[in-house]
Amino acid sequence: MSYIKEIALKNYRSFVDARCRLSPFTLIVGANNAGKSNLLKAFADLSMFVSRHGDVDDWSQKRHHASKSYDVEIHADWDDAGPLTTRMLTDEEMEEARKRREEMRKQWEAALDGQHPFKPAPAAKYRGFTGTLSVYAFDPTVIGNPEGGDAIPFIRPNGAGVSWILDKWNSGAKAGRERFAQVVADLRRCVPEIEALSFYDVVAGKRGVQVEQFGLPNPVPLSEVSDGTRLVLAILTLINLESPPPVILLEDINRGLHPRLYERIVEFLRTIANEGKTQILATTHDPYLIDEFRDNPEAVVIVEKKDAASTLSNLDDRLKTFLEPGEELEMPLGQVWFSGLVGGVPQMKLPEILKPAKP
Amino acid sequence: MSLLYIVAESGADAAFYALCAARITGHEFMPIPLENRKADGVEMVKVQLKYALRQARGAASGGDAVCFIAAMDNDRAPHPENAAMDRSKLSRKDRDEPNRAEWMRELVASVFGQNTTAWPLPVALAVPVEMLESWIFRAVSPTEPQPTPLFSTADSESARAYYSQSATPPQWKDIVAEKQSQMGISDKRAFQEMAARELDAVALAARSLSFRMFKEWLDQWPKAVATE
Repeated sequence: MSYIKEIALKNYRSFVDARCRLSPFTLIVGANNAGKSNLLKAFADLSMFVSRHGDVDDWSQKRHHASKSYDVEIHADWDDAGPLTTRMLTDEEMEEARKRREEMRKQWEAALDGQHPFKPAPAAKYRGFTGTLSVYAFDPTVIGNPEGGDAIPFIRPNGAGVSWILDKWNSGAKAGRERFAQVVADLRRCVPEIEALSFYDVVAGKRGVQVEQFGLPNPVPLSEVSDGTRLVLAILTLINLESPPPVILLEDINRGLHPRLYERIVEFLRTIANEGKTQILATTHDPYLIDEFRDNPEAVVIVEKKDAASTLSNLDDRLKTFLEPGEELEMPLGQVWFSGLVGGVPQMKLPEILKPAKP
Repeated sequence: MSLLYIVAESGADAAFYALCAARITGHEFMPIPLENRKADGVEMVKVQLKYALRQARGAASGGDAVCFIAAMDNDRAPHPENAAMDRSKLSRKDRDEPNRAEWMRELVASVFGQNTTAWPLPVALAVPVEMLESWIFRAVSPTEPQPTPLFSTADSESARAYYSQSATPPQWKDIVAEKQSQMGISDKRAFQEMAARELDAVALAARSLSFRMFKEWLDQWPKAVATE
């Protein structure tokens, strides 16, 4: 299994000096504006750095706003490939990076022409980081809408493209049909009411996904089923891509999902991630979802803002501040987080009103 | 500035208790509010309180100046302030409630030891009878007649059962909502903060035994701790 087991951020966006461990499936929690999304963006920037050989756009825009230092770093440590540090480059280094990238492009074009085999750059050892990662903030109102066209279909950060990809798989070669069947099987595992997926024509070249449900005589357009079901379908489609992203970055993973589905979905995603198919990092504000990580609190990362700097910590470390060695936790993990015992909750803005009354 | 751990039923309640502590001790605090959810039951609150006490003790041993407030509405549990209540008319669940001020004190003692003078940090216990709204109302209405309802709202099933009347008298949340409306403050939190800012602790202690008990805890806090 290959995954990033640790990340450290220095003067990067809202982080000044932060570090945490990661798991194949990591849940990221914290108050609004704590820096959860910036943590996800770090992986997107890391992938850009690796895939473009250090030629990252606008490093200066990624610098901590209060930092006077240009010492901006993203450090990641893979469980198999080892550590990699990306940092803001000097002008000379940027020029070198651009040259390397140009050389890569030529090699790639030559490989496509069949002139000589493509030699991956050394950075390619960092598991699949050959393209830029996206942070997915799926919008259920977009997922499953009628789609089509001639361009290469891909899943956009808001979930557009899912219908098109599923339709291509279903109507294409055997490998695609198998992927489609896998998505349907996985969807039924997560949402048992669903019997099958099919497609309907809207206008020439555009088709939408429809859902066949047990007990209903006719299929209904995907837009008519719950937000949660559409969200699950988007995640499953992403996971079943021929080359799924090495790290799937999901904002608000449980948006629209019923809490009773969490157990099934978390188990499913954890299995996928543990099998090494992809690494998953997802943000949430839901204590019920955190409850599902009771047996592996190390897989929950808490993001907090202190003195205008975001910090990272693993939940298992925070539990040690009040649990005796070997003692079992006597309350649900989500309740522990909600209560504020482990941090990562909105701060009380009281200092100014806590001043005592003047005599 | 001292860290002030506050275990309360909501963020708004925690803010009120923190402000009371500032008013009564005359010092500033950095609040660390920990919320419990009544729906999770008293047993869960006990567990949370135990964990919070340990965490505060750890912070204190690490060199931080730390104080601690544990608060929970009394909700008709036995208390000297409601001794006149006809407990036979309460629901079985209410009748079986232990004295909350006592069990909270026992829980703190189970973590910090029985000798309160040897506790590693200053602690105050707040058990408003029957709920925080009683303190709020008395704080903002010092000259008005003092009602003594037992329940949250008049339309609650338990209140109707207790009073056995077709028109149950207004209960604490009803009374405070009315007062809030009269004073033209729409936000509950702002109203509670206003009540704490204007608090005359000595006068309120004279009208509310449960508040007096809370104030007595705070009066015992060493002045040096809160000024570090």
